[in-house]
Amino acid sequence: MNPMKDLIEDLRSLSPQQVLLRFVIMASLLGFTTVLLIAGESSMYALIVLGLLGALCVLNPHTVLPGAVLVYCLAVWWAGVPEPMVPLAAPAGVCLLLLHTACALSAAAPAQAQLPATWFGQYAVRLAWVVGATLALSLVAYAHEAWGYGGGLTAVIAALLALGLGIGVHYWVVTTKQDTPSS
Amino acid sequence: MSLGTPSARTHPDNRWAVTHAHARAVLVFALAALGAVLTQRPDILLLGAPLGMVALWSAMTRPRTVPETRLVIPASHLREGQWNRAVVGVTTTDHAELTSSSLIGGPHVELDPDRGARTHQVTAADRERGEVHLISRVRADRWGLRRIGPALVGATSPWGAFRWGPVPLEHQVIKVLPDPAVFDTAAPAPHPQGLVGQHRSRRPGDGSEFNTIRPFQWGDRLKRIHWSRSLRTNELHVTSSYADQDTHVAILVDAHYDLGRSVAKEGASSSLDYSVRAAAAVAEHFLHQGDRVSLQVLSARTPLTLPPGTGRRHSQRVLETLSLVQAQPQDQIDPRRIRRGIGPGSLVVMISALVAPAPLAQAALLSRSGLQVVVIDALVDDVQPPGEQDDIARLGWRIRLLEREAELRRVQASGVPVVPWRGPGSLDQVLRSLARHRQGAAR
Repeated sequence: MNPMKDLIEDLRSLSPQQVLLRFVIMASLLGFTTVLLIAGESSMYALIVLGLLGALCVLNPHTVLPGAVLVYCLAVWWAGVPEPMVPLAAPAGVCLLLLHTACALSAAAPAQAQLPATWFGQYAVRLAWVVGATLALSLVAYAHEAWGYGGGLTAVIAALLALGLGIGVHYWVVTTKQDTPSS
Repeated sequence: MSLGTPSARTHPDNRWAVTHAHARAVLVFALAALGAVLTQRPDILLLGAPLGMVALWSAMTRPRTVPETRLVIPASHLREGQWNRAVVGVTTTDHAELTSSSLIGGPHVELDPDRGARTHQVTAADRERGEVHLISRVRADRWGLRRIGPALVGATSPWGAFRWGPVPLEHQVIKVLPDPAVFDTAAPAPHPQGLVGQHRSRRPGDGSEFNTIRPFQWGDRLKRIHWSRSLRTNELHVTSSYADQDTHVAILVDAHYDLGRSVAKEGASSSLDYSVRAAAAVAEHFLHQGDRVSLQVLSARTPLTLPPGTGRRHSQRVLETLSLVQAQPQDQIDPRRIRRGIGPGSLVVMISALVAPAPLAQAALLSRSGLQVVVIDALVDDVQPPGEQDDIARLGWRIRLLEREAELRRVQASGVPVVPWRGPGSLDQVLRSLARHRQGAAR
């Protein structure tokens, strides 16, 4: 059994909805690259590298690869955009959200399966909610940056604690609760 | 199959597991938040924040209960080429959002959609009903016992964060009945035995088909009096009819060998395909006419026998028996077994590829014992020789065909007609000649 052959076979027999999702994967990554090029000092090579990574994500949306690409995107942004707060961070975040969502939805169903249109509608609404919340959060971030409030070491420690607590709670919720058969 | 088959219940994937998508959302958000805090870069946090929200949303909508599932084929049997449904039933659980299934079709089974890939978005109505049905169409190209499945079933939660399955469901076996090739004959079957069939006899008798109007004789039924003619002639006249006749048609299917390929898409049929379909057609035709039909299968693996019977239910029994036929050579054919249940006056229809001399010898024996025997040659021209097609094999096959021709000539000379199966009307000529032969013998 050749995994690459299977992937190509899957790609050849994609349903139209899966084609759309794969297109969104590619478009969102290219969108992020464009925002990155406008916002920072990255070279045009980023476009080629991220384009290639996008193609790999199109082939393997159900693997760890999209996660690695997202982490790479964070690193590229950190390295390529010197400003601590630029207005383009919000659209870049939205592009990453789209990339993540398209990969997740693509992996949620067989490659050949016809996906219901109402499902896409549901996700359009959900994405709108998350994007709205992201924009609101970005406004808070701008205000925070404009007031020049650093917070100091206490804020850093508090944030780290909050992060650790959040991850701990998440781990408890998703791993220790046992599944029960439906009645 | 009941809900929650043991194999599905004990399968390691029969639980809601974290997907790469959810792990990715948590990881990216955690890294972004950590990076933002450590490097004092709120923009990095903004990049990861949407995924953090998605991760939170996903964790809050994590399904708690495991669905139960089943694979059902509503019809226990179907005809070859006929579409049927394969239903994967999945019980609904809270926060299960998208249910998917795929099917593996066995040999000679076609699925619609391709690979039986179906998805269904779970709606409020589904939750109220308690079960989601994922329906795929299945079609078997060839008669026999066909396997549908195993099926793989899975479901995902919002944002594709948690996945249940794919859980395998055990395959189902369905009986695919042969599609009787269109066969019709207007010729009467020889040797009518009783007066219950639908053939029009050459003799007058109690039947439904008008013969003539003749003077009344003792024994005529009063309801047959033709009043207008009787009044005109001042003498009682009755309408007479032809007798309705039936016969016992004993079908012998030689399933010792299966030569050639059976690929419905390419229109290729094996010799056993032709034999079984011809047997189904002949049986269906004579049963439709009200005759009694019995069936015997000559095969070491499936030595099936069906006693004589009539009617639609018997027709179904014949098809079901034929669907179980499997080819395997037999060292010796017991002539007593073949002769059993075949009374004098029966019509024996032997269907065979005639690649071995034994069935022909049996046909000659039956004919010699006074039975009317017709042999249908199921080795149709497009049936390819068995084995690898090297020069030696081709030469061997040609030699065997020459021998076969000589054997056919010998058996035909002994009074057994051999008809190549060509579908409609194959037997018409033979049955007519047999009937003429019978009449001549009677005079």
